[in-house]
Amino acid sequence: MLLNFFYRLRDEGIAVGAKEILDFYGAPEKIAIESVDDLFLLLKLICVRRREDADVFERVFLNYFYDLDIPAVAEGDMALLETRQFREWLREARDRGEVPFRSYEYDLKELMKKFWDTVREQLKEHHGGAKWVGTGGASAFGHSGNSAGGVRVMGAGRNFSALKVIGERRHVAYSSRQSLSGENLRQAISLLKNLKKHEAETELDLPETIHRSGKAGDIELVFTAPLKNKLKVMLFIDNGGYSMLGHVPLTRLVFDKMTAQLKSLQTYFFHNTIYGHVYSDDMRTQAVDIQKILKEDADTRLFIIGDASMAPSELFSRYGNVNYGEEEYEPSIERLRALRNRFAHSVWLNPVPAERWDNGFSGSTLRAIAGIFPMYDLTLEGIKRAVKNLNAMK
Amino acid sequence: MSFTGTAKYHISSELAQIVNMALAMEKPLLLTGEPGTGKTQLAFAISEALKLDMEILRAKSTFRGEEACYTQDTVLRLNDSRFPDPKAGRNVQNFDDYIVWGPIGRAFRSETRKVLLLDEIDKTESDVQDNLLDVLEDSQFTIRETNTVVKAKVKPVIIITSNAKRELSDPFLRRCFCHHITFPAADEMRQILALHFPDFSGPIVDTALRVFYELRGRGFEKAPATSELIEWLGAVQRGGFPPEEIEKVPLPGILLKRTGDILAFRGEKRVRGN
Repeated sequence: MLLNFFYRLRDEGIAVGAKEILDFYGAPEKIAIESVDDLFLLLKLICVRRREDADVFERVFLNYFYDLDIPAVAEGDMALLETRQFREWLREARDRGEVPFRSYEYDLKELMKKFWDTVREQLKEHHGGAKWVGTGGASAFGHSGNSAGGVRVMGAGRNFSALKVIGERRHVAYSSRQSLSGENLRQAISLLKNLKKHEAETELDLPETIHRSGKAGDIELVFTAPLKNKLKVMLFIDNGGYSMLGHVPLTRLVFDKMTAQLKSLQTYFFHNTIYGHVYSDDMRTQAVDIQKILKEDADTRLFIIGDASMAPSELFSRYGNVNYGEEEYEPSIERLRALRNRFAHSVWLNPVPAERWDNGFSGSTLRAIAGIFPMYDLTLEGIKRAVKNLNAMK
Repeated sequence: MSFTGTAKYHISSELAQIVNMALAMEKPLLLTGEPGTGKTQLAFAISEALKLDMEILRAKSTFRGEEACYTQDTVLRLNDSRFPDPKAGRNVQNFDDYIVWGPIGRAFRSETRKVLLLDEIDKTESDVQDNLLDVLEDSQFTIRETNTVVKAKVKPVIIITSNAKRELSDPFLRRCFCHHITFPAADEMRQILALHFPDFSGPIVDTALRVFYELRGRGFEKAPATSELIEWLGAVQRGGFPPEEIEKVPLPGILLKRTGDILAFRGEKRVRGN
């Protein structure tokens, strides 16, 4: 039965329940499912609600019905090297002598291309073979996968091919765990627009007034909150230091999009962490006193973008600032606490993926900062959770 | 009843199959995708191909949801109660005489099947979407004042579009079939153009497509979409530009809409992020 398929989706984080399963089993009364491609569309329509889930669904489908196991990364993404699928494929390819045995002989780009070529080869035609990127027969249908549970799995669709569609990986950039790119950022920033301030009820609600007056038989004035978005946002960007270099394109993308979307955005820059001053220009020449910032409206939303990675002394020590002439008595961590105390609606966005927060030399400073500000990584999911946190009224 | 596109609307085999599944399963079909992928046009195409009348609800952010189903003409009723007009045929005691039906109300009360388009539903607040749950699930809504249920005589074909400006609520999504229309690739675009410009082919279309996708890839604030391309080609055709002129992108104002983009295109300002 296909029940296991729904459970596999649940394991991968797609919320399907009894309603979806009943919908699916009720479908054959109304439509003819003639091929695995029809099945693909039907299951997708029933189970996938958000674009973030589409790539996960396609991979689970591929795994369940075709015994192919492709990793959750886009082609060309170096993160491929860390995936289980790639490692298994590499081990087997090495055993077969198709790639050099010694790791220093690898050309990584070449290797990644070879992997994706193999995937494409498999997607083209489903047949037995030794080169599979697969589960090694662990799937319910096995390598030859021809039929199961009364559903014909093989048989090409008349026009539309599920394999071809999955192979295009059209939704991989929107997967929640994917880091942000220009493509999916529009969606993420529109979430930021959701930030809304609740105002006093000062505007006359004409339709409601008429409605209630009509009901009461006497004039009854109804007031409503104006639908203005009086949101103030301050953005602090760590734009210094070697550790942030790799994150510059991503940070700049977020910065550009926020500048374009939010009218009342103020941006400041800092190096590694915040001391007595931040800077209003990216070259860090125009200093702004932190005391002035602390006098801003406490309702202002604060985004701090930085990797929170530095030498522990920079954060915890008095006179910890590494910039000559800018040392000061107050340790940086106290400044961060002061910011947090003033601005309850504040979050720290970290371009380092959450999985890597625990290791690396940055561990201790990152944990300390995450103890002050709610910290999220710069993924679609991370930004969504950050905005949710900011939207929650405290 | 099966839908395969119309003379002016090209539909991919995938989307055609999805539409037919949604029709057969009587599920509302929620279409997302960037502007210019033909989400709204699809509803019009279905209505044309299946010869069904349409009811259109264009969502606004100030929209409360109820008026999509019905509104009450309170002012008229107040007026009637003060200055009764026996010839009008309205009974001031009777609430039903003062109902003005919205698009959903009209679609449900119709004797024939209609296409009901809820356009840009993401502009509405989430409680509006919650108000529409009964509409999607059971094809019915309740008139609050008299507690009467209006049930669809014939279930309409419900098409919903969203630009993903805002997240839609989970219960709302659960009641729909959702499909994301990706921007058409060059091959598909060629077929779309062939429908609109049957006598237009060869090098001109090739050049236009190349220029178009190159412009799309440049990271403009508002990237040109299908409708802009069609308008642009129409203008190019009327202007009688030769293929080598098209290479230089005549009439860029049709493809690019934002001032910043046009300036960037002319090379007066660099596009941010490039």
